[in-house]
This record gives sequence, C-alpha cells and structure tokens, in this order.
Amino acid sequence: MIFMKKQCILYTLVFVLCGSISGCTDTIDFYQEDRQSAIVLNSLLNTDSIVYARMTWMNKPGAMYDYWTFNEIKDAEVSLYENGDFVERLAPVTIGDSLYNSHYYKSTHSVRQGQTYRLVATLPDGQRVSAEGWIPAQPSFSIGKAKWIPSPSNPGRDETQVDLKLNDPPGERNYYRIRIFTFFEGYVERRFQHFTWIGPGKQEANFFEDEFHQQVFIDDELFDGQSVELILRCENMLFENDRIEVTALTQESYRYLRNNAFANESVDNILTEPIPVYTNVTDGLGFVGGVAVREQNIEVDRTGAP
Amino acid sequence: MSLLPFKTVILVSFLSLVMALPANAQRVDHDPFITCTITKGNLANAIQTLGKAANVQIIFERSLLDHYQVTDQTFTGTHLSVAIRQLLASTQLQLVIRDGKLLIGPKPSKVGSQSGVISATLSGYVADASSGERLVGVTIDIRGVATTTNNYGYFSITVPAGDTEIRISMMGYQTLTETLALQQNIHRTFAMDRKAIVLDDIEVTASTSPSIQQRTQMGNINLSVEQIQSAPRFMGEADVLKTVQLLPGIQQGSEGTSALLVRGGSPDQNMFLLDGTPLYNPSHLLGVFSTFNTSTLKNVDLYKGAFPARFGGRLSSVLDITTKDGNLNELHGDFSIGSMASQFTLEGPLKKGKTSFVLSGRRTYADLVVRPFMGKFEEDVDKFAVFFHDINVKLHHKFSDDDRLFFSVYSGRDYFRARTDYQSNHGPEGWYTRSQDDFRIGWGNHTGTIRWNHIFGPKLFANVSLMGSQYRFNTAAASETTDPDNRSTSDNELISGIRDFGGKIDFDYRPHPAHAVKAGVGIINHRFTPGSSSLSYDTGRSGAPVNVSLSTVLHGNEINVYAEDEWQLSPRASVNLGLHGSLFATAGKTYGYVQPRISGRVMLPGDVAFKVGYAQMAQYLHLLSNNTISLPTDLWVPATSRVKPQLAQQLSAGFARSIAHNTVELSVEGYYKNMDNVIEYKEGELYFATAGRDWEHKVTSGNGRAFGVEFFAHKKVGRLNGWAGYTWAKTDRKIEGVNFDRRFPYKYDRRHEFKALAIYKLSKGIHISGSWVYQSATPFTLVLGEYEGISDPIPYGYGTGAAGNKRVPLVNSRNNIRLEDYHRLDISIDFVKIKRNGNQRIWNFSVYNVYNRQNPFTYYPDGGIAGGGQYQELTRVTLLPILPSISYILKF
Repeated sequence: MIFMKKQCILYTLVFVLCGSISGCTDTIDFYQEDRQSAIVLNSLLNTDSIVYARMTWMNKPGAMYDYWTFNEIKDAEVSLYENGDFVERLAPVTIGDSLYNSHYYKSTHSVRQGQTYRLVATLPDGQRVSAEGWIPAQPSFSIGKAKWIPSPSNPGRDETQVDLKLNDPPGERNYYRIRIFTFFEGYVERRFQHFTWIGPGKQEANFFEDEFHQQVFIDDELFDGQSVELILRCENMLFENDRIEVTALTQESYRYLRNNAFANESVDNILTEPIPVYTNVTDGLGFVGGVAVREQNIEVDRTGAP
Repeated sequence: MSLLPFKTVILVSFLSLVMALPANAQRVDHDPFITCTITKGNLANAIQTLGKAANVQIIFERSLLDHYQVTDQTFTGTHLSVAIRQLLASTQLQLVIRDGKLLIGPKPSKVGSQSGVISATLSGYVADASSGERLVGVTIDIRGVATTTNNYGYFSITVPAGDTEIRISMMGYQTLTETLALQQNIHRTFAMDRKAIVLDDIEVTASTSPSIQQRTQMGNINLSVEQIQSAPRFMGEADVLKTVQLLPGIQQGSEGTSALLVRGGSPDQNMFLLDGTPLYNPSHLLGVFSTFNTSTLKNVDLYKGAFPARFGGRLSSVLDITTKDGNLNELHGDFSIGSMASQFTLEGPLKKGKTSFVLSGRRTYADLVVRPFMGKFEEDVDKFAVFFHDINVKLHHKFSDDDRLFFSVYSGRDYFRARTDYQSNHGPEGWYTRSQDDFRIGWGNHTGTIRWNHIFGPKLFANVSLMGSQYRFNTAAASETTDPDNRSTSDNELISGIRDFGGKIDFDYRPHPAHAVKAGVGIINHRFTPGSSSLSYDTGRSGAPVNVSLSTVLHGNEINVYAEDEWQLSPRASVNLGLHGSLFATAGKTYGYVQPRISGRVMLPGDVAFKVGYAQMAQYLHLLSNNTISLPTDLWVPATSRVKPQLAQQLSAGFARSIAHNTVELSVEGYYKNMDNVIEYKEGELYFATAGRDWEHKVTSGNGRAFGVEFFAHKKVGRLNGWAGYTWAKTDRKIEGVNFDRRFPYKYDRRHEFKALAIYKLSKGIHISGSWVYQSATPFTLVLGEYEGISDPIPYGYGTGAAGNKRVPLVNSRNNIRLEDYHRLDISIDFVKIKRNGNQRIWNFSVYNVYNRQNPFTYYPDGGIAGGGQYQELTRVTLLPILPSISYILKF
C-alpha cells in the first residue's frame, strides 16, 4: 500500500504507547466451564429454487474441535411448510466427494415469490428447532461496460469501475446485497472481488478507510421507487469471466447477512465492538430467510487499457 | 465615567487589629488639643498628621480618603475633633466617635434617610494579599448572610445597615474578621493572607465557609489546586482530571486515561471550560494526560447534577476551570522536571499593581523514551517523534477598581511522526527499489479569550467575553517509490475538527439580601470539519499527476440565554430557580429548547439539609466515537435534521450535614438521569471512518438511562484530610438497530465504586498522600462461541470452509460479560524544603498501582491448535503495571 491506513496507525500508536509503559497480556480461566451447545439451522430460500437446509452443532467455547468444520447433524427430520401447509420432508444429501463433503437436506419443490415458508427440524431425541421466511421478488438492474481506471489510492495499480443501474420498486422498503465474483469454468467455487461503491447515502470515497469489501448491503431509504446509479469500484482489474450478483433481501435476510458480514470483518479487531448476529431460529441458532438472486456477466471496455 | 457614585466609605475596625494594636488604639477619653500644620495634599495624609500630633489612632479607609485633597492649614491649640471636622467639611465624610475611638466614615445616605430603608451593600473583590490574585469561591459572611466571590473574585452582599462584623474565609487563607460601619454602600478590595507556606495550604483550621447543609447547590464539588497538586501523581504529573476521577459519580474511561464519565454519561457530554471557553479534547497522548497544566490553575469547579442555569450545551457535567491572573506585585514562578514532562510557569507584574502576566509551557519527552525501543517494532523507521506540549499565556490589566481586562491564550498539541525508509537490492544487475513512507498525525486545542469585567454599581457586576476555540486533528501520509525505471509519489492529508467563535455577556446582580441573580446571553458560531481530505499522486508513468480534494464543512449557530436566582426563603430554606433557553440553527433546521433548572434546600431537625434538584439539558453536538476507547480521531458533528440534539433530564435528591465543627462534610445524593437521542455508529459501520457527507447515515440514536446513589465524606481541613466516596450506580442504553433493539448495559456500567483520597502532613517537610480506587467489573462484549453461518442459497464447493459459509461469532447481546473488578492504590510523598531565600524545593516520589494489580484494559478471545483440535482461551490485556515516578519542583 502506498499510504498507511489510519486504523493501522492507530494500532501503532496504541501499542507504542502501551509498549512504552510496558503493558502486557495474560490468559485468564474463563472458557473452562462447560457451556451448552446449540442446534444450528441454516437455509437461504431463493425465489423459484429448491431448498437446501443445513444443520450443525454450535462449537462450545473452550472445547476441542476440528478447525474447519462443525459437527453436522445428519439424522434430523426436516420438514418444509408453505404458508403453514406441509409441503414435504427434505431429503438428506451429501454433496462432494468421499474426502471433502457436506451434509444437506434438500427439497424437491421450489419456493415461490411472495410465499412464506417454514422449516421445522426434529432430532431423534425430540429436540426441535424451526424458523421461517418469505420470498422477495427478483431485483431489476442493468450494468454498463466496466472500465479500467487508475486506482486513486494506489497509483501503481489499476481498478475497475462498473456502473450499476438499480430499479427500485416503490412503496415498500427494499434491501439489496451486491457482490462481484470471478467464476471458473468447471468449478463450482467462486472467487469474490473486493470493491467499494458511491451512490445515495455514500457520496465519496474515503482515503483512509479500508473500505473494499466482498459484499455491499444497501437499502432504498434514500431512493425508494427510483432508478439509481451506483458506481462500483473494484480494487482489481476485472475480465470477462467476472459476474455481478444483485440479491433482493427481506428485512430479516438483510439484518442477518449484513450483521454476519460485519461480525466477521471485526472479529479480530480488538478495538471494535463484537456484533450480535441476528438469528430467527426458535430454540436454536442460525437463520432461515428469503432471498432473490440475479446474476449478470460483466463486459469490460478495454479502450485505452495499458 | 465617575467612579465615585459606586465608592462607599468604610469604617474599619479589625477586631484582631484592635487587639494587635492596643498601644495605638487607645480610647479617646477626651478631645485633645493639638498644634500642627497641614500641608497641601492628600486628605488621608492630613488626617494621619493630625492623629500623630494628638497621639491618637484615627480609623478610616484610606482608599476613600484618597479622593480628597486639602490645602495648607495650621491648627493651634485646636481640639482634634474640630480640626478633623474642618478638614472633612467639604467632603461626604464625617467623624464619628464611638466607644472612645475616632472613626471617619461616610455621611448618612440621603436615600436611606429619606426612604427609611436601612440597608447597605458591601461589594468588591477579595484578593491574595501577596500576589493580588483575585480569589474565587471566598465566603463573605455578614451576620449569617453569606455569599461567595464569583470566578473573577467579585462579590456583593446587601445587609441591614449599621455596624457589623464581616468574616471572610477560604481554605488555605487566614480568616479575615473585620468590624464595619456599614452605613452606606461600600466597595472595597479585601486582601487575605495565606495561612502558611508551601503545602501547609492543605492544613486549614476550622472552616468558616457555609457548611454543606447551608448551600443550595448540589452535585457541585470545588477542588483547590493545592488538593490537586497534593494527590498522587501519575508519571510525575499532577493531573486535574485524574483527581476529579477520584470523586464519586465520576469514572475514568479506559485504564489510565483522563476521560470522564459522569453519572452514566458518555465522554462527549462533559463541558470543559477553560476561563469560560470550551475545550473539545482536553487530553494528551491518547488520553493519558489532561491538557491542564496545574501550575496555571486557580480554581476548579465540577458540576455533575442540578446544573445552574448559566451552564448549558452538555448533558452530564461542567468542569469550570479558572486560571491564574498573574501576580500583580512580584515576579514568581515554578519549574518542574518529571518522568514524562517538564514545565515552567512564570508570573508577575508588567506594571506593578496594574498589569500582570502568566506564561507557562510544558512538553513531554516521550519520544526520547520510546525511540530506543522503536527498532524492535520497525527496523526501517528512520525518523520518529511523539510528544505533546502546552502553552498558556494570560495578561490581566486593571484599568480601575471597576474595570479589568483579561486576555488568555492556550495552545496544546500532540504530534506523532514515523518515517520509514526501505531499500532492497535484487539480482546480479543490482536492480533495486527504494520506498519511503512518511506518516504524521497530530491533534490539538487552541483557545483565545478576551474578557472585560465591569462593575456597574454595588449590586451589578458584568463580564463580557469574546472567545475562540479550535480542535483540529490532522494526519498526512506521503510516499515515494523509486526503481531504475520509474519514480512515483503520493501525498494524502486528512483534516477534521471543530472551530468556535463566540461572545457572551454575563451579569451578576444582587438586588436584595435574599436574592442573588445571574443572567446572560451568548452566541457561538460552530464550524465543523468532519472530514476534509486531499490526495495527490504522480505515477511517473505516462499519466499526468492527479490532485483530488474532498471537503465537508458544516456550520451551526447557537444562542444561549439564561437567568437564575438564588433565593434565600428563610434561614432554613433556599431555592435556586433558573431557566436556560437555547437555539441552534444548522443546515436549514432550527432547534430550540427551554430548559428549567430548579434546586432547593430545606433544613430538617438535627441540622440535616434535604436538597433536591432538577435540570433539563440540551446538547447540539455529537461525538462520533469508537465504541471501545476514545481517540483523537473521534469527530464532532452537529445535530442535523436527521440526527437530533441530545436531551437530558436529571432529578437528584439527597441529604447533607457537616460534623466535627464543620470540618467534615457528609452527603448522600441519589439521581436519575434520562438521556434521549444519544448516538452510536450502526453495528458494523467502520469506526475509523472519516465522516463525509454520509456520516448521518452511519449512526443510529436511542435512549440512555442512569441512576444511582452517591455517599461522600469530605474532610477538608486538618493534618489528615481528603475524602472517601461510595457509589452504587446503573446505566444502560436502548439504541435502534443495536443489540436487536434491546436495552443493554452501557460499557462503563459499574455497579459499585469506592474511592478514597488521603493527604497527610507527616511533618513540615514531609507530606504523604494516597488514593485507592475500587470499581466492580465493567461489562464488555465477548464472543461466547461460534457456529456455522450461511451466505448462499445453494452449496458452492465442498465442506463448510469451501462452501463460503461464514463462521458466526456467537454474541448473545451487547456487553454480555463482566469479569474482573478494578482496584488500584497510588501513593505519593513530597519532601519539601524551604530555602533561606524563600524558594521552595520539592522532591516528589509517586507510585502508580502500588501492588501491581493486573487491571484489565480489554479482553479478546484467543486460541491455538493442540491435539488435533483447536482450543479457545481468553486473553486479558493489561496496560499499566506498577509505575514509579519522580519529579522535582522548584518554586520561587
């Protein structure tokens, strides 16, 4: 980086100060007491798509556990209800190969816009968790050709600017998530790009912020019912195998996904307050809510590109 | 303008003086004959000549006789009284013979004789006899009617006319007792002698000031500079804010910092007034030291509840700090060297008796301490600086007894700079790259005040102030990268802050013995710069250099009007009624609030006072602050149409009584405070953001509550003095969008708190002090575990990590854990030596955190991998272990 970020500088100041007056750290005995684990139920219900639900155990603090995975719950009965009516029992499936795989519960019916769906999961020992969400409409947007531009914060690097026109339906509060990712033919995995944005409620870039994120969350408080231009500035050069994804969210989905994103960003920052993440699962943790995902390929204008 | 109408004549008789001068003040049993010649000149000298000729002491107030001149006269075998009356014939003075003493005083007032109203007003100043420094908070007591000097040393008291005894008292000074023939309004400056020298100041005989049960005001604590300087020092520095933190109801923020949290309020809700001018960030070194150099201070008043109407603009407290005016008679000063900083203060007359100055400077040498360790942090650092400085300048000119002018300037600044220079060489061709990063960060306050005191009459005092205040934070980063093919440069700068210009006029009016009225009006123009940044870079390639600048400036105009009356209903009851009105206009939006202030006192059986107070406060400024610690990057922003002003209501009630001959004050005070529109960053917003135009959208607001009860015992006098206080308190917040909209404990919600300060004079040359603080655990937010999250509706990849599902840290609520209590003992010892030339030398040894308590600064979850799995543990960060310090002080 050409210039140091303010956050880093403040850390330096704090720790220089601490160092100068010989601060220290030590471990205290806090996590040793046994704490109750909890059932975690997660599912994002996408418009006109089948349902994937996943169940795991929460990792107890202080307990020994595998670094990468959570203990999966494979023997639950997971039922899907539409507007209170039973639809089907989700089938357990394993996705992946014999070495790396994940256990899901999968529906055969697709969920539809405007309907409310409930998932009820029951374990063999009778423990039961449930949650519900409704399905929003797909977002309406269009994008112009992406352009490569010199980075304002790093003259030695080029960025990509994408103009996104978002058409917001009037009369209701709408919520969106925007992501840019690179996809690779033959792979299901996607690599998310870091970007920042300028638009209603965010009119300028801040030089001293680490403001490039993998996802941006906005609501239409300032542009309800209007078509607005958002300028997305991606910190890397984009190519034809990049896509933009705009997801319409319900208020609950917005709270959960936004909270969770921020919580993960700040989890290692001792100067910021840890964030409680929203959960709507009764008698458990996790989230079940509706989303409407729409993707579009990015075309790149290479005129004048180096 | 004639001063005479406001000059009244005093008939003076110090009882002590009479006792001290028995040989001279003999009774006039007969009217002696005299023979003497008076030469043309001053009347007072002429009277003295007569007195010497008759060998009789004639009692009079010289300043009043100085207004008259006499011509050459000769008296031969004339009665003394006849000669005196002849000299007084053309004046407004008369001779009175009472109890065998000759007293010269004013002729009876025509107004008084016509109206039959038998009252007179004694007004004037009280000053230090040695330095001429006006004294604040001095008690003037006439027959049980008492008043105190205001921040400018002025007082006015109206009592029934006649001979009366006046008692003037203040801690650290000899009580002055005089008998006055108060037949008419009298204006006079009283001079008080210090009780003793050096730190004997802290040993005071029984105070004659009104006892705590006689004062209407509650939630107010006055700290003398001597108490502050006697308290244990932190790293060699006496610190007013750290002493204030030892009082009940007031907490420190993070460990070691000078931030104040008063009765559940946040740091931005405190008004720091330096000679009446607000200071916005009164701390140095990230809050470790306060900006107030104690050598320049004269008086410190803290209000934490039942605010008088003259104060406004903040919700939780007012710290009203008055600096010295300067010695009018002699040049004095002090000099100190401490572990972290050195300071000097010089004061003296520019024109003796008329004009004085105070000049003070302080600077740390933290960079000299830290620099040797920098190599461990960053070996490429080639330039490094970190320090702060303070400069105080004050001028005081006395035009007349009725007009004084003050000009004071304060400038303080923190500065940090680190420059790194990195060079690398690669390959056999000697390819190299060189990069240099230069980072600077600084912040500081600058204030300037011009004040004019004018006395309109014996009952009306006015102060006019013009003031400017600025807090500015700036950071800049420059870099340069050079390689054989190219050279690129980049410069960035960010500026933020607040600047005020304003003026106000305050009146102090004493129309009646039972009423003390204060009223005033003020206007302030605020200019907020929450974020002004510039960027320029030159890639050195084909592209042209780029310059970009962005600036956000907001304005606000604030008008304040107030009136209050301290009304003595009866000897057993008094009330302070006040009203504070304010208007704030910004960006097309105007807010206005009328804020009633009421406090009252009634005496109960057993000489116990019951006090009650109610105050509404409005605050038009917000501080965008990180939620865990206060930093200089915190941004002051105005209330806007979207972000409303902060409002508070506080109700307090309590009992007070003094015991042990008025040497120990006991009080218990309960309070309930409701705060609306307190703001906070929305959860997840970047806390270190520069607030651009979108800052309003990053914050959310809500309600705060605080309630508690404070027990306080304060021993002001004796070889052993100090205080002890216990507080039970609770404070919480309910802020939209935070903690699932549920109420949560405020981060400094400490349920129990005990503090004690003891100052003991072991001998004349050795003074010991110690303080102990206990606070029950503060809440903080801790991640209690983690569980799997979800970010996509369908699985992408295999396994939890590959699927992109976030690991959700489990935080059930904001501030969900309280772990360890805080307690700390500090001690200090002064070795005082008074040299023959009067200079005082003091060696101070202080130890902070004597028993090395590992008090928590913060906690964070940590962990590692063992036995094929991961484990978690909680790590505690401790900032300040045992810290001894030494300082040397020379006073001359």
